[in-house]
Amino acid sequence: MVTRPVEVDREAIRFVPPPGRTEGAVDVLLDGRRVWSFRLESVETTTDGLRTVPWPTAILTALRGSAEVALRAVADDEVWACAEIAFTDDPGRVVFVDEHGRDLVVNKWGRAGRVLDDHDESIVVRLLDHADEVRSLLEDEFGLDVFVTGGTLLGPVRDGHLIGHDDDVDFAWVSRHVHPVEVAREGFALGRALRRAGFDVVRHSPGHLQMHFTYRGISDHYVDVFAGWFADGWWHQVFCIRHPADREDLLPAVPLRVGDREEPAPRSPGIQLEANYGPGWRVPDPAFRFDTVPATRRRLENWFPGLNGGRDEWEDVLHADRLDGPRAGSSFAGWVAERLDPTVPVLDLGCGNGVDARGFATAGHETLAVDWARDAVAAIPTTTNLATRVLNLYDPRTTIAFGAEVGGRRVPWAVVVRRVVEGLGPSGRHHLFRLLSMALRCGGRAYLEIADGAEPFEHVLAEAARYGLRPEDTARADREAVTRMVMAWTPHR
Amino acid sequence: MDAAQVRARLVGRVRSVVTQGPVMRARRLVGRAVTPEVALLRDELAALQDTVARQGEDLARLEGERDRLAQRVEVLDADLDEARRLNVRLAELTDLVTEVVLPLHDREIDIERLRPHDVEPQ
Repeated sequence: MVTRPVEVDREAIRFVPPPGRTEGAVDVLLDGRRVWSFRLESVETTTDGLRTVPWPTAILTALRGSAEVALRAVADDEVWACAEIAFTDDPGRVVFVDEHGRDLVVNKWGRAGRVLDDHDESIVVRLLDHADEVRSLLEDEFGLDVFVTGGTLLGPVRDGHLIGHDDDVDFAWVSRHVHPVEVAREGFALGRALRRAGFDVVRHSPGHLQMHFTYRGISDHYVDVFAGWFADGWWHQVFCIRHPADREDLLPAVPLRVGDREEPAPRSPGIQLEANYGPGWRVPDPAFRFDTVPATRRRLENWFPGLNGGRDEWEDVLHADRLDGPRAGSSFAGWVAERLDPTVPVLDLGCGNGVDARGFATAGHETLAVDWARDAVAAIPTTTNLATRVLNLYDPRTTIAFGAEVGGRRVPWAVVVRRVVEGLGPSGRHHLFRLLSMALRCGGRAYLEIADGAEPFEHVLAEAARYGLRPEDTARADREAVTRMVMAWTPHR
Repeated sequence: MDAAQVRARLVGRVRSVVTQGPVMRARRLVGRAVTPEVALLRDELAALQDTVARQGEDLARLEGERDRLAQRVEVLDADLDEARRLNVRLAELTDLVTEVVLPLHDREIDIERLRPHDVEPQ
């Protein structure tokens, strides 16, 4: 611990704010670059009178070496405290960057991400160009009203530019439907249209699509599109707005200067911004976090449930695995291989970085490796006999369509499901078992490995039995604390 | 006169003043005036104690009612969430039928398995 105006170690920052300061956003700078922001009022005061704010988990591994740590008030840019800190004995300065060397910050979701401030201005042009392509499709193909929302409305309304600590462009499409069922169906149709048009689309919910773009071969930025609709005097917008407003309060859209061009904006942007950020929307707040009222949150979360809970974290685990270097195949893959007819095709559901799947392919099995970690699947090296696919088991539509596809091949698949069941929520497990029941119609077998301590094993078996799946063989691997089994599908009688 | 005699005389005088003198007269006067009020106050106190006891029972009943209502609100909230989740389920199934089932069916229609249209009540 170094005793200075600000005390910093790898766990927390301890400081005394200037007299009279009790609230407001505070930037944390490492060697002069903002890496994170917090709200002063959310920081606890310890018994010694110091404010103590723990570092967010997302930056912890980067805190190696030394850095000048400074705290700066967002409201007036006053630097409250500054000190040179040696976090560890490692030589060199603290570096908080991604694998391509691009600067990172801790974003409003508490995750490491990139922001516009840390890039040259060309990223704004690329971002807006792509945003316009997305918007044009929604307007031209579906005749929808579309306007900027979120940070893409907030920044330009304040000063004509995107917010420096933002990282994307946000659009809302205004559905003509009034019922969430129809709005969700429209969202499904939009997703397909965007995919057909060649966009790289991630569906976050039935009402939230995210288009990803690369630049010079690496991921660069994304554009979000959210569903909005009017019903009974309320304006709803996924994922945080339910506000008294009628169609004529927000439409027709009006032009808004955004950097070098105009984008459509809600007719009364103040209504939209207050609905989105509360009455304090005029004051810049890089530490902003959504605090949606329960009545709104519960409606939108249940009408448009998120499909990606835990997906980013799984990507992080697999990314760290890849950085650790090549791994050997799992012992489960060996257990399965002993039981496989050499001619059967293998479907590896939840393949992660594809180590086992590559092993099956190399052994001569036609292999399809599937995971919901997009980056991990994309990083699987090209291998003879191996095809890859991204699949989200929380989306029943795509899962069942995939089931129809593999079932339609009419081959006895060997479906490998390693450490997947215990990581899924109830809906994911049901979709998995439905998929297995479709894939195994022609006499194949599913090989499952389930770690101890998650869902009670009897529950899992009962759930699987509802889809005609029954264990033929079960084995314990006590050293690895897992249960392994072979399952077959039999039609209900 | 020794001290004991002086004390005895003083006590005697004080006693006479208290039992026969103006103090006693004043006590009798006050007693006649206050006694009915004391009785009245006692009655009111008893009534108040009854009221407090009744309100205590009411409070306990209302607290029980409040707890039951809070539990009921939780149940209703969960029911509402469940009902709202049906929205997305319906949207997903409708989408599946239109995007997957019907196109598959179109490719492989088994006309023998289709019911004649006049079987369905009109």
